[in-house]
Amino acid sequence: MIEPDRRKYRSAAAQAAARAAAAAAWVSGLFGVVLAALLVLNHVQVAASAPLQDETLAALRKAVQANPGDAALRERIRAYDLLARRAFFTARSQIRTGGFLLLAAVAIFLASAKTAAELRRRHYLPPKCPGGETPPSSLRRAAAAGGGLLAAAALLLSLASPPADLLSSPPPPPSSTAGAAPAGGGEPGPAQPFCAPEPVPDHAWPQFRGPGGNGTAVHAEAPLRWDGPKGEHILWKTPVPRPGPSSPVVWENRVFLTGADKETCEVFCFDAGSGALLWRKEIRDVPGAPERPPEVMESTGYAAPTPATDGKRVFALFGTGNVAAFTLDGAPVWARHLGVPKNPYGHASSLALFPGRLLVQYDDEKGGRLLALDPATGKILWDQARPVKVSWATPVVANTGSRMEVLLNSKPLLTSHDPMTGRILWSLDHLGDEGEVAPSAAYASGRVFAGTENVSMAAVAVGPPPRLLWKFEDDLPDVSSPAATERFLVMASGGGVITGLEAATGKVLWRRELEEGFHASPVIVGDRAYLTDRKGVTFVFRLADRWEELARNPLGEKVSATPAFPRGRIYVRGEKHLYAIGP
Amino acid sequence: MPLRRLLPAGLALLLPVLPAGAQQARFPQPEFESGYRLPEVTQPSPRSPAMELVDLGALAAALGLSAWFALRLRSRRAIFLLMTAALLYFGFWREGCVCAVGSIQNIALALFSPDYTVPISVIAVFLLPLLFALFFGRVFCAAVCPLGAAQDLVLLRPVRVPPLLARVLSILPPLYLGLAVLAAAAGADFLICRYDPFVGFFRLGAGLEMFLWGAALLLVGTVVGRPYCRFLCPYGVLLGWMSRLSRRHLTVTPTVCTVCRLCEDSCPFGALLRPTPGQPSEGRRAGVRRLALLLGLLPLLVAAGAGAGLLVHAPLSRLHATVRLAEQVLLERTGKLAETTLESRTFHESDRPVEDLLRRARDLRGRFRTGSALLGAFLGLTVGGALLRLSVRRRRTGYEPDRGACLSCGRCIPFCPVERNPGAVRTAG
Repeated sequence: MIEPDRRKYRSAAAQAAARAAAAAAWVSGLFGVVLAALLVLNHVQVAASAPLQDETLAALRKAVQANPGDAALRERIRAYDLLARRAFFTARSQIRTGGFLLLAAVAIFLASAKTAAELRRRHYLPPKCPGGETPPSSLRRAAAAGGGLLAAAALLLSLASPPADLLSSPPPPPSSTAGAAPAGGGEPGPAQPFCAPEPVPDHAWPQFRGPGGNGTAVHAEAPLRWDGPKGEHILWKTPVPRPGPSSPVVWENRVFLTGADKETCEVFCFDAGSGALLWRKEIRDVPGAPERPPEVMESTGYAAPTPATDGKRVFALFGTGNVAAFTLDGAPVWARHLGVPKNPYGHASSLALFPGRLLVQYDDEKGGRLLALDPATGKILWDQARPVKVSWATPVVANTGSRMEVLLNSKPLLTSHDPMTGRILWSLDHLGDEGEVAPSAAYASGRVFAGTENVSMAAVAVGPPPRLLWKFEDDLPDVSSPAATERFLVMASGGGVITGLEAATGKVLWRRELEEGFHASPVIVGDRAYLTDRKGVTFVFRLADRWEELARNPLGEKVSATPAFPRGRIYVRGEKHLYAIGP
Repeated sequence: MPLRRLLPAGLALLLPVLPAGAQQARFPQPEFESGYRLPEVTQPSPRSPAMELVDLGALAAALGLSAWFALRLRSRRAIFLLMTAALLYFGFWREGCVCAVGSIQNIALALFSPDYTVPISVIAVFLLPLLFALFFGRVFCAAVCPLGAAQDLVLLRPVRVPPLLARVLSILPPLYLGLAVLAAAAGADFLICRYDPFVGFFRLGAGLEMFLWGAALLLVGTVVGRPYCRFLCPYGVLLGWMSRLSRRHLTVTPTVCTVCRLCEDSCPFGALLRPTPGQPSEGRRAGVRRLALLLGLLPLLVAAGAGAGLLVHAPLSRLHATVRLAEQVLLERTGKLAETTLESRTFHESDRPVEDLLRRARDLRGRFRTGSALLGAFLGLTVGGALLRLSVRRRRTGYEPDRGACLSCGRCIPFCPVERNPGAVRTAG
């Protein structure tokens, strides 16, 4: 017979052995608990520590960058680095040794616990009435339920996962906003299909010099004549609350501007229909921003960079180093401080847009930088160092036939960047060590045009490798940027000379000397170019082999900004007012 | 018992302390200015052919011993000792690789990829346990598989998983098997290795997730007998098929079952079948009608499974890194995704044409389409097969192991009072 409880019949030796095993289990278990707790602490410390990112090391690194010849400083960094590595690997070694010990403790615990359990085990005594067997019909239902659950899971998975047709659809054709396939003087490779961003709608003028920042409208409809003093074709005129040379940007029925003085930086939104100021937002309390703004030249001010809009948000950058995003209705989205720009004139490069990236040229005297921020969050997606001197040009985003490139004019290099990563795709020393670079580049049909006053205007076939096609050295722009088509290059100097060159050869087609100089950049709309001088007179001329002036339109107010050209309208920022011009 | 309650706590504390090997290289290489050249990083050399033979010999010997212990010696103690030795050798010494469970993927990849040649040693590791299962039942699970051994050792207070729940969960191993074969055949991933719960313990180094996964299974395993073996192991599906056909198999009783019922609570894995005479039976006609109905339904189940597989082919194709990368790059390039990944940045820097990537991704998605349909059909067939099996009445006069589910661990053997010598009944106590 089987006894229900055998403890009282168990031998004294067995009972003693059971007690000993139980004690061993307790001891090893407690040892394991203590050891595990210590190892957990160690692991948490190791996991949380980032010794090479701490402030001391960062400060030391900055110091050695500023003073690369300081041998003592370098030795300090080495010693600190070694200390951090030693601490980390010692902690790792402790964890590993502790892991072995813990395994041993667990093994002893298991063995002793099982032994104790075995020695105290009671034999099974079957109940008088055996339990009921699960009927096969229930088991069949359970098996079917398992299959049903799988089918439901498949359905849920297919519904919850991203659409499957992403790969099925052919890649979108190359965008036509920034030129066609390479041709002419370039050495174009075979045209390959690739994913270009969707074209910007023609009701929009999303950034400085329009879509891609290339000074070319995506339509051919713009008013030809107007007269500011007489009010002819002036739809409205509204005062701008704060000064700044930044240009207007447009999305549907909203016009955005920035303005700033030493105390306040603001973004303005005007109603495109009436000119009413819909909202104004001050950029303030940006984390990390110093209380005092940097010193800048009065003519540059703090609102030289033109804002940008992607149709969901409007982005504004100021000479203080603050960049901010608002919804089109003025709700703040994010703001961040990019560091105080060390810039002799003040930061003036404008924002540029690529889908999913807000591009910021952030050169200063410490070196060249091109950053991409996440438009939704302001997070820095990449930060590409550029081996250039400080410059004030704005990035141009161009479709070069086989890919999208970000083109940046600077001294001494013209650089091309991958908009996805910031990586420098190619570069060319086109300026040497001369001049100061404010004009942005222009792109058309495989050629990039870049230069600055007192040096040259260069035409470069896109790389890699880039190839210098020609250089032109007369009446060069100092602030105004050139604009180009496959056949023509137009540029305007600070001294008041407009020059038309043959894009392929650099041959002068025509030259027009005018009374006022130019800060605004020419904009190409269809077969015309629009160019506003500092006095506010806009010259409209045909892109042709000979000078053919179509109109000369006074505004009645000084102008430094480049006008915006959404379809059928022009928005001009004068010294104190914003004008809407239309039919 | 307090000691038994300590075990889960002890195992829980084991969780966070082992991922020492999971630490990534956090430090950039020092910049030497003295001209010192960092040594090139080399791969660890593969196991020598001689050692591979030793391993194969050890596997064959362990399988043979396991079969002998289970079928001839009928000794749970011997099986337990062999299991412990196998855990030490195949688990901690050989660090769990190559194991028979993971070898499924090598075989699948070799079958579907002309670029991959599977080593003979891996084929042997894959086939030997199956051959032994065909002759002697799942003796590999009993005492040779280190994954099973790790779970067996921690089983302290087994509770019975409700049979209906166990039946529902029984669909998981075929699903895991199908997914693993699909992923391996498409060159996407070795899922079994990626989600191996215990290899991190064997190597004392793995990602934290792997440790958490393994420790969770061990914790569950203190009360639920061998949860991975019963409700996940993909190789167990193949072993179960073989074991059902096995020539010989472990039995509870060495001769004739006296239906003393002493063994009825002995199996913690729910693999012991009761005698049938005591069970209610239905009419023969009803049984035949159901069988015919299920046979007719089988093609429909297979077709429905294939359809469900087609539904999920796109998400399944994302198991492949190329498909994920292509989708990521497309989303980035069209501005729908701002955040780049290390892979997409590397791709952008490689100057590879996007079109090439898309072509390859589309091709892979096509392969997953076919594979997913086949996977669904296989699962439909599995469910249909289970329904058919549950509809066939088998008579049992005594307690018998379920040949497909029995792990041949020998736990039931000491419970049987029947001696090998016919007619003799051992008195308990």
